[in-house]
Amino acid sequence: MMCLSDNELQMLADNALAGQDRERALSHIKSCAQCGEQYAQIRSVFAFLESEPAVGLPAGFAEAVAERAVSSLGWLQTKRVQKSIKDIAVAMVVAIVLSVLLNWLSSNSLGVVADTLSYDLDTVDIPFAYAMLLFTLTIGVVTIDAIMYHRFNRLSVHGRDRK
Amino acid sequence: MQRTDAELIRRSREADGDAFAELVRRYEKRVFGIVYRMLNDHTEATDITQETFIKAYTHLDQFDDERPLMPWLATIALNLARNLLTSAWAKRQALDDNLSCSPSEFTRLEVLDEVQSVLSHLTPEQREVIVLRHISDLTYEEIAGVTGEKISTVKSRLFEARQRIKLLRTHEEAKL
Ligand SMILES: [Zn+2]
Repeated sequence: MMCLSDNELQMLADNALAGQDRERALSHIKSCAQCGEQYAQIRSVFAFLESEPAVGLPAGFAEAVAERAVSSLGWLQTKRVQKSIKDIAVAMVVAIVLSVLLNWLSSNSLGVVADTLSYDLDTVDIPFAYAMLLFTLTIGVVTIDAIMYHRFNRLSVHGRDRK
Repeated sequence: MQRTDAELIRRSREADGDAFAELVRRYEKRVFGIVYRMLNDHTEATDITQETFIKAYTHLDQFDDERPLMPWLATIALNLARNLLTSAWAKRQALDDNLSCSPSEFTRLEVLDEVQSVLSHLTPEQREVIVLRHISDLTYEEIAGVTGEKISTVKSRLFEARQRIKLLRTHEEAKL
């Protein structure tokens, strides 16, 4: 076959030849001393250009950059608010489920629960039930919010130490 | 098991600092390489590498994580390096109107290693394609995407640059 052009040799070295073209080029440089020599020269230019610089980045660069990136973000604030809204929603669902459960327990007249709570469930009035519901809800929201705040606070201040 | 880039990107978007640090570790050498080879200034190159990753992070929600990350990072890094070269040139022009340098020239002349000294003989366009091909390991198509040129332009620029480098190196060897 005909000798390879310089462009073809460079494309071969760049992995830019595929299929039959690549096979043909590879078998030619094996059998043709002149093209083989040309190809070796190109490879040596590649190795030269790909040699690493004498200087580099300081140790711990990635961690420092990540910390700066994460803590400097405006959208993180938005994320926090979104998370809080989600958490409040979860807390409300939990509170509702709990109150329904409590209601179910009382309607089933489970004496054990009534005894433990020292309440006569038959006499529990409506305002009291609402107060209980509100209390559970508030505790749930406050707890989950505190956990979320703690999590994000650690992330932005000590992100580097988290493993 | 090693996590994929896409996975790390998704976690980074959730403000996971460790995931983003892992991504930075994967690409920092190549990003630094591009900028350092373009600017020949260690301090500037370190700063711009940092800026590249911070910028990438702030725009992470706009990045399609099914695509490879390197061309995108290279685009950001190259633009920052170009801006710096232009402003350094403008500053020097303001100081000395007779100065004959162009934005293509290195910002500051540190001691040149062998590669830097060869690259300093190329046009900035040639230097860009060389750096994108050999340091970021991008394909012709990806380089075309980063530089905004046609693939055929990228190829011919790359081939010319290498011919030039081959000549320069033979010349250097002859001098020794
Ligand atoms: Zn041949």
